[in-house]
Amino acid sequence: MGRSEVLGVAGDDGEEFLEAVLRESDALFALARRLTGSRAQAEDLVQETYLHAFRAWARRRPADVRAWLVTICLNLARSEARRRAAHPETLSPDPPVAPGGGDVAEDALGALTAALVRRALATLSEEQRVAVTLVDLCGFTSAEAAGILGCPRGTVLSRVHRGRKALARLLAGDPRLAGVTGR
Amino acid sequence: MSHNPEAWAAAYLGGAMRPSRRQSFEAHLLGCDDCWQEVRLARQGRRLAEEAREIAPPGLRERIRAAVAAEHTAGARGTGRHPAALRGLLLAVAAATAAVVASAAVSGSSPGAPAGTLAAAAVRDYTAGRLPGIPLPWLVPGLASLGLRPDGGGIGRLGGRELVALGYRDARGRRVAVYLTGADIPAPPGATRLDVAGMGWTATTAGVRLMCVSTVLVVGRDPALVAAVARTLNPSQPTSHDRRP
Repeated sequence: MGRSEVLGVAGDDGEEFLEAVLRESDALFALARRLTGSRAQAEDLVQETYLHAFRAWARRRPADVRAWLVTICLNLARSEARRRAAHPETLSPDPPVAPGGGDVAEDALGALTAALVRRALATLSEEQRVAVTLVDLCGFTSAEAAGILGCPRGTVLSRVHRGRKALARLLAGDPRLAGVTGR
Repeated sequence: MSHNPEAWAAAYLGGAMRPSRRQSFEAHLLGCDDCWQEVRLARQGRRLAEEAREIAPPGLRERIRAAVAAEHTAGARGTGRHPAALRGLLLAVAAATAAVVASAAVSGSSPGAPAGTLAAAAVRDYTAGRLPGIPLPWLVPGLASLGLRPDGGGIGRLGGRELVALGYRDARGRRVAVYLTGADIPAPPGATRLDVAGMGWTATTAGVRLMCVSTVLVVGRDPALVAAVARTLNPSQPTSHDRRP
């Protein structure tokens, strides 16, 4: 069986596409998770992002695949947000995440910290949340994030900075996060 | 340059300062409480933000592969390409899950049963509202154009064949099951051959309509819906539901 058949994608286009884009799934998921209300919605958003990218792949081979995928993901999330605003529905809460194989207490503490931070992130303005997500969670430089968002680098720097400060203030009084904030 | 702690700290932490400016700001930081607080607070926030990092769940990449493969299949139908793409998808699924299939307990089936019993087993499973195999997170192929949403799925053996079974449901609650196999499906006794390119046969058993398209079997109670799904999945007959790349 040839590689094309193993991938389930006939032809070089599909192979080349998957080769170029799949490595970005972690960064895309990190972004999608901050743009949606649940892990399931984030997975759907990432899948939709890849499908849109695949449809566009034949017409355009972007120089920066990661930034291209993130731009598609952001646009889809905005469209979905508009749709949801027009047709509100109840979000189903995330199912509990299976614990890792490490130390139970450490896993529990890590999960608690992450949950508190995610909740705080969700309260930021969308502009700040997206900027912080792109830079601190996805690993883009401020210049790259500015290219993705179509705004000046100074604007991204400002949004990231204010978002970080807001996070620190929101979580300043929580003794459970003393180890993270270095207080 | 006027004193602007927020802008300076943002540029400093964002790596947007030239080396000489950076050096002078670091010297300034030691004696300026406002700038020090700006940098300290933002660093705390950055550490906190990094705690929220989540890696993609296991299986997401495979789900993406399958979705892209299904998209490719739909595109190939739309442009009149050979139906081998669909077979490629089936082969891919079968290959990727061979080890699981070997040990999977499958409802309503008896491994080793003759291939001709697939239709009967499909009817039994459909009637009982179950799908064979292990839960399948992949969403292939998309039937949203018919108002059908994925409702479950499985990989396993049914009627002596390895296959992928996908359940769909529409807003009215009508269910359709699609069985994807790697080879042509023999017609059960009493089936009617379909004189349409790419279509195989149709039969009705116990009020359940079956329609075979090459290596795909569509099962449901609503004959019109079953026919619509079969037409959509028929690689030889591009329809208005086909998506074009």
